[in-house]
Amino acid sequence: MAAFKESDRKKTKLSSSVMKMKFMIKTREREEAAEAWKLVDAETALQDSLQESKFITEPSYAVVENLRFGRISFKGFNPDVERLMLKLDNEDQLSASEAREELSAVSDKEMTRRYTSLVGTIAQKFLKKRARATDEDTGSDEDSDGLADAEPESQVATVEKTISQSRRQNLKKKPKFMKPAD
Amino acid sequence: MEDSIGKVVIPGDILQNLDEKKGKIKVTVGPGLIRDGSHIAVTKSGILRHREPSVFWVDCHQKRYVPARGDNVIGIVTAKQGDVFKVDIGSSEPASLSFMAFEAATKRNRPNLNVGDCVNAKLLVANKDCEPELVCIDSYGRSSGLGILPNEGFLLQCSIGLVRQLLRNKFNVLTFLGKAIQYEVAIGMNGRIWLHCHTVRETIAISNAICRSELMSDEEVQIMSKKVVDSLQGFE
Repeated sequence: MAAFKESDRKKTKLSSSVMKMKFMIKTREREEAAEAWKLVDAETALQDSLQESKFITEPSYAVVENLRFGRISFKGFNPDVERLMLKLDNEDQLSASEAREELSAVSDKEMTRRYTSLVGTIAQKFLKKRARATDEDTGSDEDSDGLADAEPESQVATVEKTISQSRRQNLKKKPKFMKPAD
Repeated sequence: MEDSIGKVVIPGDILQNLDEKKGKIKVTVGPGLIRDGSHIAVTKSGILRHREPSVFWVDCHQKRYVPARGDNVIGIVTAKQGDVFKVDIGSSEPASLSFMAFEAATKRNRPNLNVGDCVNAKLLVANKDCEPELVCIDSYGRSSGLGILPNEGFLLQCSIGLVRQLLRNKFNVLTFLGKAIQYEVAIGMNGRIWLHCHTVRETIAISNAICRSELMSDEEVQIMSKKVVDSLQGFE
């Protein structure tokens, strides 16, 4: 049913006066046939919906046992049939691989979860440095598991200080240039 | 109900807890089982089969065809009645086939179908209360392998179990013979097989081989088809 509705939406309808014209006879007949199909399908859909939703009754062995199409040709006896067989085989493989992919793919829930965290990280990239810093600060405050205390920060500060001092010393030493003769 | 899968069930048996552990996936109840209130009852005697994720059916030997929606069958046209053909598909009642249900058929351009012709058709309506209805096109209006079968073939009748066996396995008597002999078949779920070969000798040999293969194992089928091919090609 849903499929029909979608196709209806996509199709732009011609007005009835155009449809009455002589050159539109074939199209009109086709549309009428499609209407008849819809009715038949609506009937079966109704039957399905009347039954309880927990079970699906499937009377055909062909569907249940996943049987293949019963028109087979060998060694090129009927090229049309062989082409059809090839096509059906490809479709089978495609649907099988799709099913496999679905099993291993990321679910919608997982995807939204990932994206919500990703939005934050990418947003930071576009912030100015100062805003980012304050953002981080507030972020760490919000997190505040008690781990973000002053101690590690002070350690970092001392390490930075020592590094800068040694760098300065290096800079001072550099001007002294030794000649090979010495 | 895990314990009765692969075991014999008989009509009147009641299967409980078919839907346990399956969560949200709906349980598909196949042929041989009916829904009876909240549980499932067995209507055919055979072996209970199961396929992932949750499909259950009864596998049984059967010769009488009971129409089921979606089956591809081979029918014989028995009468023309106005705009429908009456087609014998081996069921309790003849099926109807509209002359519009063919590829590229219009009200003016009728298909050339006579009494006695064979058609490969799909069951569109198969209800126990009304006449089965056949079509020779898919929902896009294409024939896709369905339609009138040429007047040159040979139609043989076999059990429905054999038909399912031929369509289930990729490697069966048909493929073994098909490696050596050029031919085509149309297999109907109603137990009819239409066979088309170059010579009468091949037709007889293949039809016999198909009928014999029903109760054979894969190895036996392979040996038998090799013998058939050898004798057809003149080696004894």
